[in-house]
Amino acid sequence: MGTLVAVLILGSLAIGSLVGVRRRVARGSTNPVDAPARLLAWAIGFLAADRAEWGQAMAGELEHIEKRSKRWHFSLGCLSAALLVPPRRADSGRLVVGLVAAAAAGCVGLTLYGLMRYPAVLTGHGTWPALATFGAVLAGLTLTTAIIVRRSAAGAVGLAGGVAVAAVWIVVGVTVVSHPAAPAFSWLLLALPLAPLTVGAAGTWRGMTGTAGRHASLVSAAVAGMVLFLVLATDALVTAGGPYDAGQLHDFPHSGLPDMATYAVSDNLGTAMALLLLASTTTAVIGAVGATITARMRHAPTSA
Amino acid sequence: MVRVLAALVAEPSRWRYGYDLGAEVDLKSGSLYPILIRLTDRGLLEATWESGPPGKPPRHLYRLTPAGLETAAILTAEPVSRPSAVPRRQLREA
Repeated sequence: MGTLVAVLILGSLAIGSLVGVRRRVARGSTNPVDAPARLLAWAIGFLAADRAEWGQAMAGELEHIEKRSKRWHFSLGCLSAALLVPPRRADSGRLVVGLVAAAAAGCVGLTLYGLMRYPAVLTGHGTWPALATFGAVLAGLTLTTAIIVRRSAAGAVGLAGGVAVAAVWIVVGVTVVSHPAAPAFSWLLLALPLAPLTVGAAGTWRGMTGTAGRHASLVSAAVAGMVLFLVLATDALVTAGGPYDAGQLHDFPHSGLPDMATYAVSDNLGTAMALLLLASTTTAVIGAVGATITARMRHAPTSA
Repeated sequence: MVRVLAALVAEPSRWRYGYDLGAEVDLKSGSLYPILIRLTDRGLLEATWESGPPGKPPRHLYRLTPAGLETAAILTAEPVSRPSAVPRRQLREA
């Protein structure tokens, strides 16, 4: 239950961040007055940064269409155009979006495999809400990445930073869990906030603005969360949830699930989903702080 | 794309609005804008802004460049037998 609450809270934060990004992206292009205009303002946010002029052209044209049905048709057409028109400059953006989409598909695929292999997991308490939240978060992270990468050059830094942050989480997690009685290793926990701080700083350094750093942080957050989930879920399915810890052995008899493996896989997949949200949210927030601090230290614009 | 070029080459010196051009060649905005963008990227189309009245956004205007005129002349001179070249209105009326 605690996991579910954490998932819901973090999911709300992720969705809130996504809405904020969408508003910032679409802001300034037009002044929406009706639903078709609002749709168009939202749609042109999907255009690449070097296509922004075309978004203004679409908005300018819509102002001269009076019939409501024609305004709807025009805006819907512009939405499909905005989604299909590629950026003018070929860069690493498509690769980053493709990799993130593939990672999201991998996350879904692993989860579906787990549910087919251990179908009793679906009978567990809170499984369906957790799956729905998981799907929404994955879709949100992928969409956020696609929008950001089309609007800025933060993709490469975000991708590399996300993989690095995930690697830090894995190394620190394995080390601390393997040596719980060694206080020296607790210092390693400092690496968890330092890694996303570095990504935010690197994004600002490279992009010259705090906004570029925050964009890199958001992309790295999506990448880190998905990579972490892929690693943890793969481990859970390959080992059938083992080795079982004392807490799992204690809680299993009260779970209502038919066997220990099903319970452990369910528990570990739930942990992986919670970490997907936790890692992506903390990476985004700490990275944004790092980006803002770096921009102020460099006297660079904190926003684009 | 050929229909757009043919419409633009009919009055090469005239600046055209996107919506009017789309209505003339019977193309929705979802098809028209990718074509206009491709033509502009290839240097076949030039665009300019027309200031609107206060409170209204400026409007984009389009016409062919000299290279676009040459390309349009070549493409529109070729006999076109593909069904897609037949205007949709004619198909509906048939």
